[in-house]
Amino acid sequence: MKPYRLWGLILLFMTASWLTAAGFSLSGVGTKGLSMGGAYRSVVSDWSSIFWNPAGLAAVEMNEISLTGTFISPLSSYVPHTQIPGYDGGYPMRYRVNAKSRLFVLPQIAYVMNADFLSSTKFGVALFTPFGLGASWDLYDPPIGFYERGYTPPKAFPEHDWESDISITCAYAGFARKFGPLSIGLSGGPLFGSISLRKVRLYDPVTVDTSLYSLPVQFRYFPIDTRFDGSGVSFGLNFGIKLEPLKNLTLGLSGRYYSPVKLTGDVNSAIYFPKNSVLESLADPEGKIFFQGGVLEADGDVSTELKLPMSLGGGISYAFGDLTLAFDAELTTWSVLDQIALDITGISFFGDSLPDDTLVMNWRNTWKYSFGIEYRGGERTVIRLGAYYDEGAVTDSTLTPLIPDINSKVSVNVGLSYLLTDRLTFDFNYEFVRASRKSVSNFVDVDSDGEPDNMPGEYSLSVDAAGIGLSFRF
Amino acid sequence: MRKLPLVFALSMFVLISCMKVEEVEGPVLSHGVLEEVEIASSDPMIGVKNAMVYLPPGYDSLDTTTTYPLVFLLHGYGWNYSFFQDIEDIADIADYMISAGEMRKCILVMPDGKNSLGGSFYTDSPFGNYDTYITEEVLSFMEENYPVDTTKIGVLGISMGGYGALKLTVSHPDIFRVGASHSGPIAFQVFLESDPITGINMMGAMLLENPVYDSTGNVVGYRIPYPPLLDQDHPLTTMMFAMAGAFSPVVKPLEEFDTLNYEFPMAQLPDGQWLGVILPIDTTAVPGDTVGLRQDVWEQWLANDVFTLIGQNYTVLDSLNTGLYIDCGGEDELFLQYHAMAVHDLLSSLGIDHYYEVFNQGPLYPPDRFPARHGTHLYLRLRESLRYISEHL
Repeated sequence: MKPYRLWGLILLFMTASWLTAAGFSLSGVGTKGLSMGGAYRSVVSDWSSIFWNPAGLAAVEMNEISLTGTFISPLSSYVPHTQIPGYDGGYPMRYRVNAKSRLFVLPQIAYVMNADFLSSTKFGVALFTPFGLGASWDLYDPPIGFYERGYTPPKAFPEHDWESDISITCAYAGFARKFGPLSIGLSGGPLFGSISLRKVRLYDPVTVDTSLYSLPVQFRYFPIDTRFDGSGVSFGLNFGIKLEPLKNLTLGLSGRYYSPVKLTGDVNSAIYFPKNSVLESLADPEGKIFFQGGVLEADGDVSTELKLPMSLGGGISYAFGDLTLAFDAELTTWSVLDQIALDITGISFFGDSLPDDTLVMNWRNTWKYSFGIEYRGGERTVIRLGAYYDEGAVTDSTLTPLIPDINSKVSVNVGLSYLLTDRLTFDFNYEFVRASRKSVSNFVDVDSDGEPDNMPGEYSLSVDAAGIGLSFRF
Repeated sequence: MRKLPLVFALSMFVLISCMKVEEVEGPVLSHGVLEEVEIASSDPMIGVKNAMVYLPPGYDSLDTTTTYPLVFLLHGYGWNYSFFQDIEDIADIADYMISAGEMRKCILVMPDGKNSLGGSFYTDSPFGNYDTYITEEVLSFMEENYPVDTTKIGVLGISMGGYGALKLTVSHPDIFRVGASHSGPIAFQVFLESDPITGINMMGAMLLENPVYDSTGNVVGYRIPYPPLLDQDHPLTTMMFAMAGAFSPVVKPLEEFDTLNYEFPMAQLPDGQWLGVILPIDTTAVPGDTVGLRQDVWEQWLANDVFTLIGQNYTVLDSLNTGLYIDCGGEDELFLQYHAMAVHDLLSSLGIDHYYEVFNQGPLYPPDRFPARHGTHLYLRLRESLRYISEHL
């Protein structure tokens, strides 16, 4: 093994420990494919083939180490229209809430080998993040009057009370081989999933004592701060083919499969009671706890299975001299994510066993259409432009601020590759994504468990993302 | 030139990472001050009472040039001056509304209208001259101690206070430019009408709280005993006695009380006479009876009835463009929504502009979970009435 190759492998494993992923349903991997809006299945010929279309590895001509950083800055906004008595004051009715500003950094690293000893078979390994989303909101505060003047609760309600952080990181190996005009490739390997969800639920004391119907509405809900953290390992598999039936015309077809991720972790809950001395004095002995301003906490273990969607896409590209036009279409089976069943063990606030829970997702399959242009502007520079239209997976019946993917999205992209030296290439891309505004009018209780599965309101989302990459060939 | 792409890329990252937004684009809250004061009455039956005063954000006691509108908040039966702060946190509601521009800066005063019967109905009576107390003594106290704009005075209240707010507005339109009633008993004739659901009226319901049993435990009739049972188990009886104390009180020697029928001595006065109440109905009945009305006493009640007073004073109200606000929950336990409807119909027939709403649960609030009962939604309705009052001051 040449020293270069050894260095590449060492670097790969060293950096694996600081890879993080979060932020947004990711548009793709690498800078080049993103620059072309994802219209890349029939074009790809670098390390990112492992994600886009493993058959693209067959076009790699030299050993290559690539290091890429993607920087994602989403701007999610939500105007609550919850309209539930008791929420008013708790949720900032009629006012826009913006998710906490965050800059997500997604490092990616890859090593591709043009192995002489494998004949015309090319080999590569890569660490990348195909899925990731996250948002952190300061949405709920105990409503006006929840605590009487001068009272300080033993534990303050958390500032950021609606949060999500989901990431799937893949450590894939892939190979491809060319058979005349046809290239075939396969990649796969373990994937590491982590999920963190935090949300506010509102407990209605009427469920245990109907005489409390006459309670003033501001005391009709006791907020419960619930947080779930879990992680797990699974595996995924990508396959792809590239076909050049005519000179300058290339077709690409690829698919991605992910085995469900079995997640295990912890669930933590805390219920917050109002403080009102007058109501406390009027309540019977069992009911006094409802007005004493206390906090009860419960912890448990949780396990669940997170299903990930398959996707299947095809692309076509045609080269007019230095100019290449590409188009892709992709179907992603988000409908597999109908629910996340949480198997919970632990003790509840009131001493009994914590019940299992189900997060209703009810997502739908989506189509994504991408268009890209690549222009070779001289010996050193390649310029790329792209755009895509991507349908939203989340339905109105389950839309909450936890999931930034609110609606169909349009993206515009620009990027370039610049040959710094004969061996070193600098890559850059910028992406702007805007989702169609979404207005949800009514609460929906999909699973009829008495608790709404969505949050009515006005949703909006835009994302700025940029990436830089360095590739060293040898 | 070769560094240009790198410089461009780094500039983009700096730009993106510097993007910050306010997380909640709501109002920046300014806070007012809440004070507890003592306001004395010349009426010994009232004496010195506490009151709560809310001073809006920006209030400066040293500023002698700025004046503020004044709004009275009248509590309901059984409560006292601290109700609006203790239960509804009126200071925080006002802070929020003023900060959000939903309400102009006002001084709020919450006087005490509780007497020995649990509620004065803000009426002058031997149990305490609470009309005079509110409209003269509390008002004078506020004028002397705070920069009140006496041309801009409003009043709102809940339940008994809702009655008081409209009665004071209709009786003193020279003082109050606007009045708002939440769930108030404001059309007394409705007390005599049968509720379409239960088939009984409020007077009958009061009698039902006072059953008479035979030796086997069967109900053989109804009778309000002497002494009356005025407690949590007899809420309607307790409230009706308070209303009788306000509208049909009596002072005479103990031996002259007809304690078997309508008249109930309640307390001995320093001069030896007894202060009591006369109920407007026959206090004895058997199952199947209709409630007997004592017309002369009932006339005394009607003389204090908001519905009646509007009929007498509507030309003045109309000429002064007095603001009138009426709301009530559609599932009020005391059936006061029918009072609101009656007054609304009257005002509409007289052509007097007013705000009216009998609120029910919308499709988002299933009635089985959020019934609009007596006072349960006051927390939300106060924003409507304060906004209405603010617009009319």
